[in-house]
Amino acid sequence: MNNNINICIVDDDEIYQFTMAATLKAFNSIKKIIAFKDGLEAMDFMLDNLSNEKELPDIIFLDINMPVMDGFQFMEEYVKIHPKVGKKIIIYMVSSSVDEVDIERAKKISQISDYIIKPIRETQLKNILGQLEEDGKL
Amino acid sequence: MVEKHIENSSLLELLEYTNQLGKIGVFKFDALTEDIYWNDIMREIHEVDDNFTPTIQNIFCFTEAGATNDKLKRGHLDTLKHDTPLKIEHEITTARGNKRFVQCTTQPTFSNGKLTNILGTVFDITERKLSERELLQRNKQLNFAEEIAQIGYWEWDPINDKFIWSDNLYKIFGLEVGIEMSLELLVSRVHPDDKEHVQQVTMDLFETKKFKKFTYRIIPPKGAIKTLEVLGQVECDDSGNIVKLIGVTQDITHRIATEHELTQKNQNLLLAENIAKIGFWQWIPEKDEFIWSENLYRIFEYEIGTKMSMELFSARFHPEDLEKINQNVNKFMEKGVFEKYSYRILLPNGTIKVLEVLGQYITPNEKNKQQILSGVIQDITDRVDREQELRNKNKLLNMASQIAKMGYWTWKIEEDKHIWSDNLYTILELDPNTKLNSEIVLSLVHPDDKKTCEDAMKSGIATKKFPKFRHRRICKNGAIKTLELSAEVILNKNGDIVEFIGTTLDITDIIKNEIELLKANNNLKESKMKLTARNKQLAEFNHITSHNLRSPVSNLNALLGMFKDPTYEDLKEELFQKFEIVIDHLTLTLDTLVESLKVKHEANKSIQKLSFDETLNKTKEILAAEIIQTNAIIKCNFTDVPKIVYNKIYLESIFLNLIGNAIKYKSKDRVPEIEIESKETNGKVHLSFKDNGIGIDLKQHGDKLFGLNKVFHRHPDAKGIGLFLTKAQVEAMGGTISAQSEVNVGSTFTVTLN
Repeated sequence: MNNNINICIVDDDEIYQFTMAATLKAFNSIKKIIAFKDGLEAMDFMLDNLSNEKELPDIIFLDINMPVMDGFQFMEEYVKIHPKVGKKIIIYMVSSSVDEVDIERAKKISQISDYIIKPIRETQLKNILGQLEEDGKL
Repeated sequence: MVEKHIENSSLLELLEYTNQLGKIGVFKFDALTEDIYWNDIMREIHEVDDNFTPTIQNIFCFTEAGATNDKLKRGHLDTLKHDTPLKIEHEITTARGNKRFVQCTTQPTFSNGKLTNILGTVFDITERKLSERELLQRNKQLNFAEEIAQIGYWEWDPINDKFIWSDNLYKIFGLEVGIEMSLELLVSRVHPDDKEHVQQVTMDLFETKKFKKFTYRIIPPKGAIKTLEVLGQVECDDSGNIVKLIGVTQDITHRIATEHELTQKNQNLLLAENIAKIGFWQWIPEKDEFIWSENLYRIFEYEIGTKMSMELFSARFHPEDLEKINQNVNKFMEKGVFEKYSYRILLPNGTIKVLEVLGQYITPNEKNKQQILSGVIQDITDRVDREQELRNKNKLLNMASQIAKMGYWTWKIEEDKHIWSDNLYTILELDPNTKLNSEIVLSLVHPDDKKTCEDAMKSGIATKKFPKFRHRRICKNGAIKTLELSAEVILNKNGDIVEFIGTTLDITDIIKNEIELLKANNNLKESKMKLTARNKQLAEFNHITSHNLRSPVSNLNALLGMFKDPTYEDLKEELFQKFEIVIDHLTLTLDTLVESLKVKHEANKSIQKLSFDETLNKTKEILAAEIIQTNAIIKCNFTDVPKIVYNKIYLESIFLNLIGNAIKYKSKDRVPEIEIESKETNGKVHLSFKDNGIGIDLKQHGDKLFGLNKVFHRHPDAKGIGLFLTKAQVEAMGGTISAQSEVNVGSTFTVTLN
């Protein structure tokens, strides 16, 4: 296992951030975990590091409901900057919402790999990371 | 007698006797002496007495001057010239003035070429001549009769092909009288279609030697086709060969046409009888004799020609009508009065027919007291059926108009007469015998609608069109009915109005139903709106549970999972702190939800008249610290609407939240300024809160502005609860809340209170 995976968590829920980070730290393959409280903070970071491959995340766990800039608004901006991003980034939409409207909307965005309903269990994360490595996406 | 004379007389006497018997007059003219001798018969014929001495001068006075005399004289001269005897018949007038026909024969005697004497006889042929005349006359008459009867006589000698035709036969054939006839000529006149028939008849005739009457058509040179009927007899010689045929030919063209016409007329009559279902009858009661027309048999369904009797006749009577028929027959027998009446007959197949009978005496013979009745019977089943149908339909129409609450009326303009159907009287609860004119009709109209009615009537007359209109009427029992009138105008030849015919529909119930329906519809609309609002609230609540409740619960789950996992043993203390945060958050969310539900249910509690000024002052007291801290300026204008009836807690909450927000999200660069205003537009009170704060990007957040836990700024106190509750309170009171905002300029929240 290569331990060079950058993970980005975008969520205003500090408890979620805490539990996610704690869980992910157990994976040896993960090099770094960065967290943002809203979409705008995350987007600012992306814009600052457009060509900085080392700093850009490999996987983003993006929450929907956030102040200032929510998940969907972040995706709108991301689609605009996507061609300039110097790295292949896998984005998971994460929400506690089981609302079909949200799920359908997320699935329509091609840059989003999947929609994950909170809470994310450890086994689920393991499967996601394992699968991505197998597919050679990482 | 004759024999006796012969015995007793000499030859001369015999001659004289013969002369006398034959009435032969003898005369002798002596050319030398010019003496004329007449014997007694001569004198007798001319009725002259013995003293008469005939001379050359006086003998011609017996004959008529002119033609006869000239003829006589010429005859004599011819005789003298040619020495030939003269035989001439002529008329004489006797000395007594009687007219006679005589036959005169003269024989001159010459000696040495010189006339010596003339000997002559005169024979009285009056009787013969008269017979001849009569015959001629008869013949003429016969010809005339022939002509009238259109008959011609003929004889035919087939061996020599010789015909003898009477004049009229020529006329019938359109041929010149007297021309020589031949079979060829005859056949040439026969109609082409009948030639074969005539040939066949002729052939049959020669074979059977019997003449059969036959008819054929001819085409005369001029005029139309004629139909001829031929009758004849055959005469044969000893060897049985036909030598002669004689016969009569009659032109029956007219007869055939008449016959045809008659047949046609008879057929028409039968047809008419059949169509009208009428039968004729005669009855002699004493003899029980009936004469029935064919159609009567048909009506009674007896075979045509069956000998009728009272027994057969009455066998068809409908049992229920027997008494009625008997009564009528008796009445008639006793009183001799035949009144038209109808009865039913029952036919063997079960069909019932209704008949109408009419009769009268045709020969009331007092002497032998034999009564003959004659009359007609008409099958009126169809008529009765139709009448019944009409009655039924009328009944149905009446029923329909009663059900539809419809009445019919006619308004005769000139007489100003209103004729109403029974149901119209019923609808307006009037006595059906009430006579109506416009004044009475108008008097029944509701006072408020009187002008409408008068205008409609006037307009109807003026424009010749009747406008459909509604009006109310007051019934006798005081009830008010709404009526709808529509009508058509009937004009005369000159285009003047004769009358209006129309209908009046009682639409009282319809209108009542309409109103109720409208009400129900409005209720339905209101319910729908309420339901839509409730639905929206439910959807919102669903959203809240999906987001706002699920996330803390999932956090709890995640923390619990870590707490149980020995891997995170060293994080336990931190985990406990996190548990506390989540539980606090969950508690707040649940409290807010409970609060919002309470707001929805308690909207109508503690409603009272509130002053905006007082409410604002109370809010300022609560926010006193923040106002002092930020130097916030609060302006207000409640002059348009100073007071409102509202839920006190909610109004205070609205003021507190909106003013609080305006201060909380103030711009760093500006002193907060807040303007509050109350206004009334379209009957609704609007309350606006305008600030100069940081503003919100409504393009991005507009749909979430009033959502639970929605925050738009990284403000430490932003919890997304204030506006959520404000909206719940405003909506619970039947109002709305909206916002206008520009980032870094300010926001305006407008609350429509009711």
